[in-house]
Amino acid sequence: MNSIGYDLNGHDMKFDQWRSQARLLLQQGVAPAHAQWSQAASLFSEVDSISKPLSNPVVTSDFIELAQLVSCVRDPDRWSLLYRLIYRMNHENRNLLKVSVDEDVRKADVWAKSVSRDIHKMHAFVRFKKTEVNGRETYVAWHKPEHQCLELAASFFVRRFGDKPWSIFTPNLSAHWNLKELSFSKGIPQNKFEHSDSFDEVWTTYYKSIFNPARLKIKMMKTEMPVKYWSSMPESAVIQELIRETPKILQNMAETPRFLAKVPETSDWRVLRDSAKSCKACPLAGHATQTVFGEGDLNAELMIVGEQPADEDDKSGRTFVGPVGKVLSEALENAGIGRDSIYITNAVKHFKWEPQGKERLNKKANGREMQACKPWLEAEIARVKPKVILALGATAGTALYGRLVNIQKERGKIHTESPFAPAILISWHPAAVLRSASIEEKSQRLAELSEDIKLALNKVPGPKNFSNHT
Amino acid sequence: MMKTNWDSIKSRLAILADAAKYDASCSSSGSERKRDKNGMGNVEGMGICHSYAPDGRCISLLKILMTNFCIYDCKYCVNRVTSEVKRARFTPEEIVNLTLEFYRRNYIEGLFLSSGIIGSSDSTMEMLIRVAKSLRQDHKFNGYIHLKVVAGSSKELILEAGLWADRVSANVEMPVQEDLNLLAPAKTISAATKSMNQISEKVQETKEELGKKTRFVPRFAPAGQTTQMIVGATKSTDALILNASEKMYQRYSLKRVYYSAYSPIPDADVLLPNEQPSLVRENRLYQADWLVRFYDFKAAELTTAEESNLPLDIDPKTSWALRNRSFFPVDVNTASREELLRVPGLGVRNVDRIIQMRPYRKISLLDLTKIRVSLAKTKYFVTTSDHNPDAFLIDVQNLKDRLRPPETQLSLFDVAATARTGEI
Ligand code: SF4
Ligand code: SF4
Repeated sequence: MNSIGYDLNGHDMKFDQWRSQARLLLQQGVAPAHAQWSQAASLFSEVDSISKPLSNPVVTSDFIELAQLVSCVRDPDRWSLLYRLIYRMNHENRNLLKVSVDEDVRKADVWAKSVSRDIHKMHAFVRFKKTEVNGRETYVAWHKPEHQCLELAASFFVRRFGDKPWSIFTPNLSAHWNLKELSFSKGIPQNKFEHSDSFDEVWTTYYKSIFNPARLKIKMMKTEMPVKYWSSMPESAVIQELIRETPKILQNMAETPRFLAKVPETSDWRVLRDSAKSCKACPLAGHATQTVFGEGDLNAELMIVGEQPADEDDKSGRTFVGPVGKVLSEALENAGIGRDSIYITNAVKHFKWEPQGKERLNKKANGREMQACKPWLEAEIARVKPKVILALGATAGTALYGRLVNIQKERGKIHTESPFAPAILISWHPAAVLRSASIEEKSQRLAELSEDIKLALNKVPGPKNFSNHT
Repeated sequence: MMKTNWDSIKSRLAILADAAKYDASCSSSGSERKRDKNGMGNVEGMGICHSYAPDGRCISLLKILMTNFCIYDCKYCVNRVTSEVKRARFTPEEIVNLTLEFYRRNYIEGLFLSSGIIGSSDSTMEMLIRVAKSLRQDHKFNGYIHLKVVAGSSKELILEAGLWADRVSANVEMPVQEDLNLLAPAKTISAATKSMNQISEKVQETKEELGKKTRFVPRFAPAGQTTQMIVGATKSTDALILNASEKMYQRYSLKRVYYSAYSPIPDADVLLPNEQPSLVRENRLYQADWLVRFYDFKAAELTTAEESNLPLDIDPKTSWALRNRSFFPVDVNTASREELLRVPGLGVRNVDRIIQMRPYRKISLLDLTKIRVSLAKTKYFVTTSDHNPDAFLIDVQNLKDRLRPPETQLSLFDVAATARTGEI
């Protein structure tokens, strides 16, 4: 007859209490069937088939780890399951826990997994609100775990936020950190938790913006962040709105107009030029007089790429005429080369302008227009195969360098890592020379442009030495 | 301290988080830090996902750009100089503040900071470093920090970044230079791999020094490095992509390669596809990547000369098994770990469970279901302690049809789950 008269409520028992009880029972050799752990029932029935008493029952650390987790489950059967396991480990197989297919082991594993997940989710989803308690900056949160796992979960918050006082409230239990020790008190229902934090809005702003509507996966979100936790998470308030707006955002993206010039596959320069004449790939064609294609020596070793045609170019159909063209001619002359022996073109082939009084004022092409027109430039480069390209101005620079180029800083340097030509350089656009703020600046920029052309000519390698273009 | 204008912060945060969201990396794992007694924050191995966005992706870090101004013109990027998006900028101090406020409320594990390139690469990188350094030094913050290497940063700065950050990473973006030429002519693969090499050498050196225990060695990027490749923006095949990854894993001891299916961006460049990304392809790449890293597969085994892309209708391991039927059936009670790992449907965890159990028990088909192996695939490839009639079907012609999951099973949900865990 077993005589431990012990009235334990199975629900409220703590793991440590169970542990010392289990130890006693093992020492007395009580079989699992005779140990009753359920609530209110008398603890032990009459014992007639006692197994071998164990003076020193073995409790392995992996069992303790598992049992601690299992003890958090709200199921009243957890204590008897745990006893059965430890009993069998002592009498049947010390390595029982390794046999994942055993019914008892499997059940304990499932419960333990569910509790660890719940603890993990508590670490993840607790949302602190900043407040003041007795004049001290304090952080408070309300969270509803699925299992009774606050005690196991709380130490994490001490390790992480030990430098400020905080409290975590759950329906059954609350945890409090006062910079020295962790204590527990009764829980509170959610409607008794009355803290708010205006900073929540900054967080939801972030949450909204980090979401990529092109990859909507609501089911996945709900699996990882189950709806049962949402009520205490500020971001959950905007989820519906985000989902609702998704189709509209996607449609807007899809409808943004995108243009690209269609270039015939040919190396016949005349065919290229003539097709370009009728290009209407982007809106610029609608406002300009004509396409201004490149021109010059089709076997030139140096190609000069400007930005886009100017007013006079638009009217005449030829590039770099008018005042801007004159500056370029002057610079070429200074460098000692004629227009005929190089190839000159622009990154964009139609004039872009806005009216100012009677004038047509030059306006910079935007990224989309530049991109639309790039195939023409690429076709010209492929046809002429220049050994050196000199970009004039930022637009040409962006097209050829693949980034914004600071002309002041990068002129005079040879850029060799380009897919377009073995050597690329940049200099002032003649229009920038004309726009100079002072006479001095003007003559300096002109001199620099001339120098850069000279440098480019210098970089033209010896005859047919074209092999190191990668 | 100056009073913070949170409204201004909020509107810039919206822009700078939006600009950062195309970087797939979110992990905060792989590092250990204890809280400083005068500050907050620690890192305990496995990072925590503090929230999930409706795109199913984990939110673990405050992932933002310092600025989305950028002088580069990478076509796949929403921040390229020719894009007409709204621009904004945070000061290093503002980022420090935001990180601390977010962290304190348990929203995040830490910070993932990157930036568009303004001025020079080095001056941009310096500012990123300033943020990390201030968090660590001025605020004794020991949460997770991931700094992106600004393309073209100098070695000195990369080495300094690793002193403060848990992870430093450089994105290659594309598997081959031809793709970069087309979409990001200012970038080179070699510049990215040069940075990777500098990081991996320093990580290695630090490990060796730490091993000697002769003197104090400052830690260097304890969570190692990762990189990202954009998939589907060019025509590059899976074979090319996997080959590039395998090489990088070997040479730079990367923790992970992220594959990011190119997804449409606002004001997208005309060279890029406008369709929704192929998330199935992205998922297959993650599965294949996983096979290379944890299942002893070679990248070259996963595609063939005739089919240089991974099949979309079937996972890469099953596909390999179908091409190598003579390898099967595998006896679960006697096979080596390596052999078991090649069985479709058996994941690393299950293989380890089987090996653990074998000394105590002969394993039957039923046992496999008990450890939640899905027999639908596995049964054709194994023999067990009991009779398994399906193992005789290994040579039938229509085996592939039997193995192909019903259409619905390839739901986006599965896709996202494997993308994260790689478990097949
Ligand atoms: S600017 Fe270029 S792309 Fe646009 S219409 Fe003219 S030639 Fe065609
Ligand atoms: S350098 Fe980075 S931020 Fe700038 S355009 Fe390229 S990918 Fe985008």
